[in-house]
Amino acid sequence: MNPITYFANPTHFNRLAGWLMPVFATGAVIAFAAGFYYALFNSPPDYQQGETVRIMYVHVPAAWVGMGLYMAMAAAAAVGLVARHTLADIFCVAAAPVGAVFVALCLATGSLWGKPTWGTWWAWDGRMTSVLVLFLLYCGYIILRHSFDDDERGAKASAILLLVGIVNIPIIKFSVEWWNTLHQPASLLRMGGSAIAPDMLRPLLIMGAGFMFYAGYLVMLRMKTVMLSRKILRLSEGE
Amino acid sequence: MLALLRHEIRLQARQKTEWAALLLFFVLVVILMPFALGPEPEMLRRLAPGLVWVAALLMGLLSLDRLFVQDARDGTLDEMLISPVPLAAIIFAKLAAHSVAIFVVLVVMLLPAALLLNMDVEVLPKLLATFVLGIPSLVLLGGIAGALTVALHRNAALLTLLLVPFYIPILIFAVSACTGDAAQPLLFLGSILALLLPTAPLIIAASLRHTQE
Repeated sequence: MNPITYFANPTHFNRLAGWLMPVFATGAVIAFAAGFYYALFNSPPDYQQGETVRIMYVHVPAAWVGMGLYMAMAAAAAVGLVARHTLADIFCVAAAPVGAVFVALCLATGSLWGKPTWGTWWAWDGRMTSVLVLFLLYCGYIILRHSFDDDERGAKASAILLLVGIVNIPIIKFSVEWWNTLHQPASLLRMGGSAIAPDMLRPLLIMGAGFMFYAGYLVMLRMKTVMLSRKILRLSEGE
Repeated sequence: MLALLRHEIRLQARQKTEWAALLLFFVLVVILMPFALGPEPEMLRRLAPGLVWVAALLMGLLSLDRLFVQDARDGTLDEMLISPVPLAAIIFAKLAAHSVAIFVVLVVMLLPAALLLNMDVEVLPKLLATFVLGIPSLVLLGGIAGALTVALHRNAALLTLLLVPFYIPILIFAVSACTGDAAQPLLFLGSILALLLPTAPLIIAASLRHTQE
């Protein structure tokens, strides 16, 4: 039996998704409810930025999810190239638009946050430019993935693109240290512990969990959809 | 290896009309800039290195179309894939010849472009140095994108979308080498090139094999 057709068989995945998706959905609802409460009502305004600091509770988790999904896609692309596991490609196809939307959300909220605090919608700062590049990479992946007639070739070519694009991730992470211009440096994951007040850290982490659950739910849902649409295509081609 | 390189360079040299078209394209982009930005000499002097680099980058993008697409069309690519010579070596020679061709075009047109944009004379050697270190990186990255899209028929727009994110750092370092202190950005350009030189031919070879079988 061909391993590709074995792994393309969606039963295994569907069983896992059937179990995980309700968990993710409930997790997202609970975390969003708690996160919105803390973020909007039960956290202090910043002593410099005032109420606008609450944008952070959307901006930062969106960035985490956007970058995390890209890294997961690149890992899946490597697995897909080596082990020829079709599910890896399905994951990338399903996750790419989700990741792109979260990065776009991160850029949009960052822009809205930048206007009142920095006085500008956009600046060509290292962090912003590298996140914009991440967004372009997502777009490039999506278009490249869908412009092949031969699905398997498209999967391979776009997997290679994902792997090459991974160089951007450390650039995003360290951009605030290498080009210390406008965007503030890392304050959560850094040497010597977090620099955020606990009252602000709590809603941030809860919202982060909510965003991850929600993204996980969306990706699983889209994976099922991609598998079903491929099944329909196969059936209609009479194979 | 040397024979391969000589062969590829001769091939590029025979395609005079196509390179002449690219050369004109470069000049025309440079000529358009003063119309778009206004003809004040002081401002053009300040912007000149950036404008030349943008024109060079666009010309590079335009030329990439010919890197693998023609070979795929006339069957040379299949020959390359089954050739006893390592695929990465052939690709290396190809990309080196392509870089040399772009470099020649740019050097020929550099003086006219500098005159048109009122460039400072002392910027010229810096600009040449950034071309030496930057153009091969552009071509190596372009080779990766070209190899990924070779199976598609109309790929020019997609190539641009795939490449621009990767071209941004090269453009940043090249232009900052021309406008400010040259040493550090040139080191960055050199390290990008040093990173790409060994890896890009292998990535290109892998993607050609994967997408052509």
